[in-house]
Amino acid sequence: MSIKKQEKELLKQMFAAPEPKRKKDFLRALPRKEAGLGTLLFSQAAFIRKWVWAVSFLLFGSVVWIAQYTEQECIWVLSAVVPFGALLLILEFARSTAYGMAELEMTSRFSLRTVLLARMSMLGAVQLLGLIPAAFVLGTQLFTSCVYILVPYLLTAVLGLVVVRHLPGREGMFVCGGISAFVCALCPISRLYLPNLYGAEGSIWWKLAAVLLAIVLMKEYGKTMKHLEELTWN
Amino acid sequence: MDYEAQYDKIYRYCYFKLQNQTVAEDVTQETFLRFLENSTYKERGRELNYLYTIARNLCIDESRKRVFEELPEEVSEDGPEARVLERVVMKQAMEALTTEERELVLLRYVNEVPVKVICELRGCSRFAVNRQLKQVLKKLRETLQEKGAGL
Repeated sequence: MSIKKQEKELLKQMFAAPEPKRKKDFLRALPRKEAGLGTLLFSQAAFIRKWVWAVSFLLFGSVVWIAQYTEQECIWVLSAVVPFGALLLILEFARSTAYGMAELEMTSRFSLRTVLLARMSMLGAVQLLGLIPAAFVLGTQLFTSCVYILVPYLLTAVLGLVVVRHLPGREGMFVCGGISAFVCALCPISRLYLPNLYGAEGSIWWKLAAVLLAIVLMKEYGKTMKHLEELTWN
Repeated sequence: MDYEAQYDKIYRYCYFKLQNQTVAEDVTQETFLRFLENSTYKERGRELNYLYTIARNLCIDESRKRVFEELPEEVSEDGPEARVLERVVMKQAMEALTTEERELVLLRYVNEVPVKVICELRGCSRFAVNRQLKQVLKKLRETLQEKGAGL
C-alpha cells in the first residue's frame, strides 16, 4: 500500500516542528572528520566506469593467459597488448575534462587532483598487478620481462598525458586511441626490423627507456595537474 | 551524509519525542556530536541507523529527566477552509494511533527513513515493518473517511 503525495504532505504538516534556532551556528562549528585514504579510494573506485574495470581485468587476464604459451622471444606480443591498458587509464583521466565536468569536480568535496590521483593509482595498480603474474609465468628473466611489458605501457601513458593536456575534449581521446594503436604496432615492427631488440643486447636499452619514461611520466603528470590548477583560476 | 538535511529530520524526530523545542534542539546537537565522536560504526555504511539510535536513546534519557509541555491543542488555521479541515481531521486520526505507530509514520513517511533502517532500529523484520506500515496507513485512511475528509 503506497502513500499518496497529498497524504504525505499532510503528515509532514502534522509532524512539523518549530524552526530550530541554533542550526546554522551549530552546523558551521561542527567538527568534521577528514575522510581517510580508504574512504577516498573506496568512493572513487565506484566512479571508474564498470566497463573500464572489466576491460582492464580482461586485458591483463589475457596477458597472463598469453604469457603461459609464450616463449621469451615472443614477449613482444605482450608488449603490443599493454598500450591499450594505458589507453584506458588516460581515457579515465581525461573524462572530467572531455565531458566538461572538470570545473564542477574541482568544487566538490575532494579536489579534482586528489580524485584523479586516487582513480589513476587504483586503476594503474590493478593493471600493473595483472602484469606481475604474467612476468612470473614468463619465468627466468622476471625483471627483464616486466621491463618489456612496462615500456610500451609507460610510453602510451606519457604520450596520452601530453595529448589530453593540449587537446581537451573528445578529439584528445581519439588521438589517444591512435597513439595506443601506434605503440601497439611499433612492437611487431621493431621486432621485425631489429631482431635483437628483445634479446640480451637490447636489454640495457629497454631498462634505460623504462627509467626515462617513468621520470617523464611523473613530470607530465605534474604538468597536467598544474594545468588543472590553472583552469580553476580561469 | 548531508548534515543539514539530517539535522532537520533528527530535530523533527526529537521534537516528536520530547515536545519541547529547546530540549529537542539540544538533543539533536548532542546526537550529531556523539555521531561524529565514533567513526567505527558509520564506516560500515549504517550512518542513518547509528544517528537515529543515538537520537532515540538520548530522547529516552531526556524524557526520564524532564516533565514536558503538553501537546498544543490548537491547529494553525492558515490557508483555505478545506485545508484547515483536513488538518484537523488528520490530527484526530493521528491521535487515534499509538505512540509507536506515530513514530513509525514519522520515520517512514515524514523523515523518509528507509525500511531497512527502521527494521534495524526496531529490531524486527522487513516484513513486520511493512505490515505495520500497511496497517497504520489503513487505520489513518479509515479515520479520515469516517470524518469525511478522505484524500
